[in-house]
Amino acid sequence: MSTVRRLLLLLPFLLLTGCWSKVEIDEQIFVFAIYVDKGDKPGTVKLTISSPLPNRMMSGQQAGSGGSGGGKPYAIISKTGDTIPDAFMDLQKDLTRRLNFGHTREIIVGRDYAEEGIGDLLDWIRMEPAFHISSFLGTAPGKAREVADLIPLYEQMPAEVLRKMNLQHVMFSTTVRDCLIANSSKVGFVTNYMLVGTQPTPSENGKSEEWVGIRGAALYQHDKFKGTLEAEEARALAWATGRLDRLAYTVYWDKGDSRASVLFTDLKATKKVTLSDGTPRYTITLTGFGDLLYKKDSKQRDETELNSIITTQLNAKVKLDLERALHQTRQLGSDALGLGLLLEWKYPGLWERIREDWTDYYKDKVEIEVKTTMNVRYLTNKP
Amino acid sequence: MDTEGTQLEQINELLAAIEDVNKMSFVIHGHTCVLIYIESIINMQTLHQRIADVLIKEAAASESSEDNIVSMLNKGMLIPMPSTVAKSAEDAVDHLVRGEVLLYLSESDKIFMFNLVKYKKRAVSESKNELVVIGPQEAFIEDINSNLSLLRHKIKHPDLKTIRYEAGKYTKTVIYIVYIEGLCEPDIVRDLDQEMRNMDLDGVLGISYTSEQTKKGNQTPFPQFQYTERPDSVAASLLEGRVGIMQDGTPSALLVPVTLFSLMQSSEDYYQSFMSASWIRMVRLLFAVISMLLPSLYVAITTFQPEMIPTDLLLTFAAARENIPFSALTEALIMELTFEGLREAGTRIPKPVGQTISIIGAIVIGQAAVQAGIVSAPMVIVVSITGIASYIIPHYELGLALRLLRFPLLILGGTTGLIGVFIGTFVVFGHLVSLKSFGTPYMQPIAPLILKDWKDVFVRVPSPTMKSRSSAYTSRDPRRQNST
Repeated sequence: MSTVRRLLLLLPFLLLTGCWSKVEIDEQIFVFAIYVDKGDKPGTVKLTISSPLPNRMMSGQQAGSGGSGGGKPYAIISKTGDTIPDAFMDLQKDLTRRLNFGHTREIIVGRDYAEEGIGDLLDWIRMEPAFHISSFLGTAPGKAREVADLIPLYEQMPAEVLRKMNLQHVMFSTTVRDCLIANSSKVGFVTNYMLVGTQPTPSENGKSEEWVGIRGAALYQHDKFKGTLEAEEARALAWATGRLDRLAYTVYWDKGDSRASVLFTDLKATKKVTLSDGTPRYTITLTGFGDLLYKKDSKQRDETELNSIITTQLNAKVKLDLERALHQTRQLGSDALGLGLLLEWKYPGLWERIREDWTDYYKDKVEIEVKTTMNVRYLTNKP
Repeated sequence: MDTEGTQLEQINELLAAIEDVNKMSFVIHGHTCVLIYIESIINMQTLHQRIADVLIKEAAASESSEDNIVSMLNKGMLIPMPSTVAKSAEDAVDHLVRGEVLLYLSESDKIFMFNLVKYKKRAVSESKNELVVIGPQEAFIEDINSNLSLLRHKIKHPDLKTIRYEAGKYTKTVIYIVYIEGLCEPDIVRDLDQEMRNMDLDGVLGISYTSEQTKKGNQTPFPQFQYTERPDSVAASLLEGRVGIMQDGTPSALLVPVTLFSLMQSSEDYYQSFMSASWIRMVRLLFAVISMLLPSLYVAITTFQPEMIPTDLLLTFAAARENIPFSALTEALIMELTFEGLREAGTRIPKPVGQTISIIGAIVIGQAAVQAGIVSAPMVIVVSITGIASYIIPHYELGLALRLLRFPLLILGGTTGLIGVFIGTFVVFGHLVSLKSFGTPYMQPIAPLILKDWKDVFVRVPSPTMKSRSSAYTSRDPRRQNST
């Protein structure tokens, strides 16, 4: 084939390039977090996005090359629309750059929006091509928009703060993927329930600034918010999900005179299901390996006896916490741990029959047994 | 068969416009002898000692033994040097300009020619382009005999064969093909022999003329020959079964056949410990890839796939690219072209000005362009790393080839994104794999896969472990050592 022919053959390739529609990196807005609330008018949804402002970040480094200086290096913008895509189009209309969801890592839903069901949000995330379904989901006690106002102490922006809190695995680190799986299998999931308050912050000249923490757990069934759990039970439930990183427990005995604190560094959980008389019977086993951090013994017992007392106390406490948590979930009708999926795995025939009524089934008919095994290491640094 | 006059008269005609010729006349036993030579290209000392003085003595000798001078010359009794008789005046002048001394005897109208050629040459110096820290430092010079002397110093075995050719109508350059019989493939020698005989050029000035003639029409930017200016490289290659081409007038020798990995090797690898040598070799390969791919990857990822970049890095890039008027692709092209221009200018800068220009280059490109907001700082970093990476390749032409390929890949990356870069790299790789150099695939031992030759490609195993010769060049005598 002659050279001319070869060149002609390559010409259609030029139509494939797409270089006329490319969007440069500085023509895009990278959204780091989105906050979803119920709109003021019924049936609407209010969307807030949080994204960094690179030009302000840069002028912080180069002295005197323009820039206002002193402004926050991130922006928070809200718009209301009938549906989520509507709200986003509204947002895009007012913005000078193209919104890019490729770096969104955190989603906070407001409580009132969650009570009506976040199914729309999950569907939209699933269909939006650039959105990572490994983004974290959290629930705000009131309006999600309020969470966005938190003051970022160590990080550059509030979205970073929220994301890194999830990465620490101190409570739940639910991702959109978990929610999607739970929603389509008609079981439930659990997210962090945030705590919004103010606190005098010395690094901000002692002003009272907004502070956001994790208060407990928010329980969902299908895609609707059902209720909350307070910190102690939430932690036990988090342990049962198997994704907890580290946890500290304090136990008391001798009517409060003696106490000990143990830091668990290695936390495991296993869930099993068996059928007894046609009723599913779950066994959740929590295993923990921890180090003794602090002890105060009013009776000066020796190490071995102390160890056994601490272990017994821990076992009792954790078991009680988890049992209480599970009781709460059953009352609220939220299969937070996704126990239904376990049933589907082992007894698909039974699951086929009861899956439509799983919520009620879970409330009344299943039995859950909790077992705990605690191991305390490093009791002392004396030889 | 000629003669509108004696041969001398013909010679004088031919030498009409050549005025740097010297002529010495003697009268020996009543006959005129004329010595004709060009002073600048002959060994004057030998001329005087062996020829001129002898002739003068003979001329002064009163007794004439009546021996025919011609016969005396023929018997070697007069001048103890090998001589030939010129076939015609043209032939004689031909030899004259090649450094031979003509002795014309009027008695017999014959011209005797003695080879006394001695060109001006420089001393054997250090290798400038192929530097090693430990190891031999000497390099070839332009004179072919000195080069052969350097080579024979390394290989002292009668199996080292040297075949002589002359090429170029006007330059009559001497070319030697050297190889070790029994180690190299005879086909290569035959092919080269064919090529040498078919060469019909006006002038062969540099070894690249020769190499281009024998390239067999391969349209590829990748070098088909390995050239080196170090005799130890040539010796090592000959011992591997390769064939060397040495040319008078060029301080480099060519080695065939060649594989991509032999071009990436430096002789220093063999003079250092195998651990450091292996490490450096891997760094070299990495940077060779970087010199071709880094700008295109950077442009492709920041323009089309910003999701791939870690978030913090993304913010740095985005912050740096604020207020830059050009798109990433344009920026990259501007910077690359500037760098190429700087590089070219750098090779031609006269030494006194060199320092100043390099400072200006650094300041202009580095500092000022970034601060003026014309290019972004990460782009300068990318371009500088790429530029430095291209110099890490020992073989200059291979570095040039990769530099050349960087531009199409950059354009592909900037227009079609990452997939364009992948396709481009794939095409380049496919091209490399299909190349053959004198019967040896270019990418041996990667393609075809010969695992036992990997001892010397990415790492260098210690010497005692390298028991077999690489089969890339020859299949003869695979044992390299301990051949008992």
